Amino acid sequence: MTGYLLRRLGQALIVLFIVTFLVFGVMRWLPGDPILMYLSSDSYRITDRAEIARMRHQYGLDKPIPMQYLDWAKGVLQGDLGKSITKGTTVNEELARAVPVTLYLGIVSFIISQLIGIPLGILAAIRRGTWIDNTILVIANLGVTAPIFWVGIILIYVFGLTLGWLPIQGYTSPFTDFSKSVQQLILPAFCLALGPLAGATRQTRSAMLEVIHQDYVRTAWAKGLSERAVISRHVVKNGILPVVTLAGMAVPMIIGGAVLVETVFNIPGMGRLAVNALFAKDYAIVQGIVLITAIAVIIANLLVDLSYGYLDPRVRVA
Amino acid sequence: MSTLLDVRDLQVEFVTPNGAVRAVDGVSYTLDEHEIVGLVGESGCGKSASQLAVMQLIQSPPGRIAGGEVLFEGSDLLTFAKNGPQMRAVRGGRIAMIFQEPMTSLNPVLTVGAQLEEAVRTHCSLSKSEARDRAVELLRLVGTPSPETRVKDYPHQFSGGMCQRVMIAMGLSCNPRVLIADEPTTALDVTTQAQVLKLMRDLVEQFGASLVIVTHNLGVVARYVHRIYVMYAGRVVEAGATKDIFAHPRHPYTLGLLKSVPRLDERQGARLIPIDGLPPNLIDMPPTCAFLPRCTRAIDRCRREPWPALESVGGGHSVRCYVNLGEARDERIV
Amino acid sequence: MSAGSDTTIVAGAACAATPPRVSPRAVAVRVLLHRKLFMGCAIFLVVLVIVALFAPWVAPYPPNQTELLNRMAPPSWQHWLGTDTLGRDTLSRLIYGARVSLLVGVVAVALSASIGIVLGTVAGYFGRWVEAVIMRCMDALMTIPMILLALTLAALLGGGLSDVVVAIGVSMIPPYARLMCAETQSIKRKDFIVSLRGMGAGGWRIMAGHVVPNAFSHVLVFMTMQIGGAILAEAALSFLGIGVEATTPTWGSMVADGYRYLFTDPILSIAPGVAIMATVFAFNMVGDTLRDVLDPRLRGTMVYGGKRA
Repeated sequence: MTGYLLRRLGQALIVLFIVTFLVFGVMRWLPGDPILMYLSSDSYRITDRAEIARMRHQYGLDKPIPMQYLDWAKGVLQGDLGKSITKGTTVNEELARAVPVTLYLGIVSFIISQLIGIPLGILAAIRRGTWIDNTILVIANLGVTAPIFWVGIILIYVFGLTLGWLPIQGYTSPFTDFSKSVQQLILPAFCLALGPLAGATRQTRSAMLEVIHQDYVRTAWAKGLSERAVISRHVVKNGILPVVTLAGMAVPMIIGGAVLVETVFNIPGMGRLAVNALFAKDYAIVQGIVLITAIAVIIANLLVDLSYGYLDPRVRVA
Repeated sequence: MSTLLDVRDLQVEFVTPNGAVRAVDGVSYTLDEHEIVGLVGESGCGKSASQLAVMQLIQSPPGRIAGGEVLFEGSDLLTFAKNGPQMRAVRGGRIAMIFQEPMTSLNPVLTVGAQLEEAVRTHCSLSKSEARDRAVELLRLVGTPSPETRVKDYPHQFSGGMCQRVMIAMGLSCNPRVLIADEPTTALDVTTQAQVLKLMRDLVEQFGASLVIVTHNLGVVARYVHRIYVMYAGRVVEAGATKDIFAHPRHPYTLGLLKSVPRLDERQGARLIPIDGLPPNLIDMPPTCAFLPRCTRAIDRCRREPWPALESVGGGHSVRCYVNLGEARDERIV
Repeated sequence: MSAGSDTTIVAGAACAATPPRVSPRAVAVRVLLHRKLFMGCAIFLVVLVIVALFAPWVAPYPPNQTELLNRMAPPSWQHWLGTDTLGRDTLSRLIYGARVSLLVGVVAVALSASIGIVLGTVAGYFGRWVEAVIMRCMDALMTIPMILLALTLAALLGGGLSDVVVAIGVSMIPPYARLMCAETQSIKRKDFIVSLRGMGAGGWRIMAGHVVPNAFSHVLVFMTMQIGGAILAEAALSFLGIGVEATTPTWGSMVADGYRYLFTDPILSIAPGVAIMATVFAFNMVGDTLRDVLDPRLRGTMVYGGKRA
């Protein structure tokens, strides 16, 4: 088991390396000089060549790309993610401000999506073909086809503007004002949860349907078990595997969706930070966000893989 | 010997996009105490479906039990709600069933012990530790080596034969009166087949239960079974004591079955005589005998009149045929 | 046949309850509905494509023609969906927006599919370190959420229409690669491939001529489903402000523009969103039905490669 774990960790590190290097390389290689952009913005009006060259050197942008990457990697291992060109702050500061917000929003969304999606999927499977199943399928379809940012806007329109039940924008830390924080979180969290929820529902439903016709379920019925026992102990336990895989894939879905949801609801999280940084061509911040995202996704995948061993005895390596 | 299970005119149909398939079309049979009964026939003749119907395990779309009575311990099982408490008490508790593919019939993510315990605790009120002990005991009973350790293993760690033994253990765990075995040895190799059959027979005798074996393999039936029901196209075409059926088959289909099995005492070079043709399409069956297209003994009456009812020819032997082979004794069967 | 049963059909009533409780009628209705739904979606898509192609003739107004005296007008006979903040006809802008969405959707998927299929087939066929390298790169791409990746690429490339297509296309490559890798590995083992190699057929020939065509039905279904995703990605990008210039209306940018006036004129944001949803739904439905038709045993979600990283 530990051998398997080490191997997976090794693979994960390689992937992490490739990701960060690819993004790093692409950003440096493509046209668009951040220094020029920064300098031609309102805060500076220097067009002196020497000044430009000096700033480029200061930020290490005149070295060859692999060298720049190594510098950055060294920095990362020491906990230094670089400086933001446009804001003058360190990337660490920016991330420290933004990441917890997205984490808060993301975790709540994740919980909502799985807690509602999986039971709905099970229900749809055991009541297949009835109006319950059809309704659930329609809802799931809507969740997959609706654009996240648009759903957010609709939610704002209905619950915020028309009904006035919930605030339409903004973010408060739960430590500052818990009730206000929750109120502001409800709409964005549901909006963000919709996609993974729909996915979980559909995946659970099809996984359960596949299991329900297996021989061992028939054996369970033949033993005289009640429906609840058959479903919980035999159907769900076997069908849960693809659902867990999908839950792992919900993590990148949520991070990606956060980019849009934070923009719509004006939440100062990682997503919004990424958008602003991209427009300003602030490489360091983008690099930092990519790093954090990649780590999060890799950890999620690792956890999913590990859970296979726990859930499916056939997979367990001796 | 009193009658334990009395199935009357059972009908099961399956709705397909092409029409309704009458898988079981008026099947009747009885099972006495301490008896072993065999249901024999080709694939698709409705033998498995009839047994599933007895336990009300037919998958509701697309199948449904269209008629009949299953009389057991004073009630008609078909009047019970499909998953109601009465039916559930019968399933596993009074009538148990084991299936064809033992490897896939056990839950892969639960230990064998857990599944045995589950069966036991559903019908007998035992504590967890009592159930655990019983599970080990059951494994030992069916001949599993080192049952104390094996009880914590998972089904994929067992061979096919051992899985089937586990299934038998599970089936007999709560002392049912009837054990139904649906093609119990078809998925096993020949040596294991013999072992499992003997085990089943011995245990059933030991527990004082009765056994129904569903199979297409005549060899299985010959050795252990007291009475045989031969099925074709959803109906019983011949029924009787094993010796009678083998010695004096009355239905051309039965005769064909017997003649198509190779025998040790045949002279060398003798040809196997298969039954020509294919099993019938069960949708839109004509009213005449279903075996007619493949029958080499058909007479004019068979073509004109509908399929006859089962008629007794004496000594507990009955047949559903106009030709009724018994009279012509020109074939040496046994 | 079974002569008048004196048995009452009690069994029918006794057959209440689970697990699946569908009457034969419901099954038939479902099949028909599916077909009807499929037909409806297919027709919708065909109409949409035609409308988009012939936009200059179909749209009642040029998309950028402003009517400053008639701003933010509610729906009327002259303007079926009203006008926006500059007096431009919403319906016409929707029609022109369809062009962008459809174009990006189809081209991006074609791009990602072609690259992904090649990569995946090569990886699956040659195995060993070729597969390892390619699949690790695919894993790397997959660790970044698709939107973030497309956003990053599009922003870095500059942000025009072609950049958006490339960005979305690249971010959608990994699933194809994984799918084809798994398919190739399973087809590779089949006897007819072995015999082809025995006859001396080269690797590329086998891959192009036999492996890919055999896997194609799975890939085709997947592609149809992915078009919806590409359209959503394009909408997201243009909502954020990356994408085509302001002169070409896109559904995403229309939603963004209308956001500010949500309270006074919600149609501006709602209408383009409905258009997006309807189009994506139609593509998904068509894909679903295609899958059912091509292989009813194919499971609900596409298999993302045999082994996971």
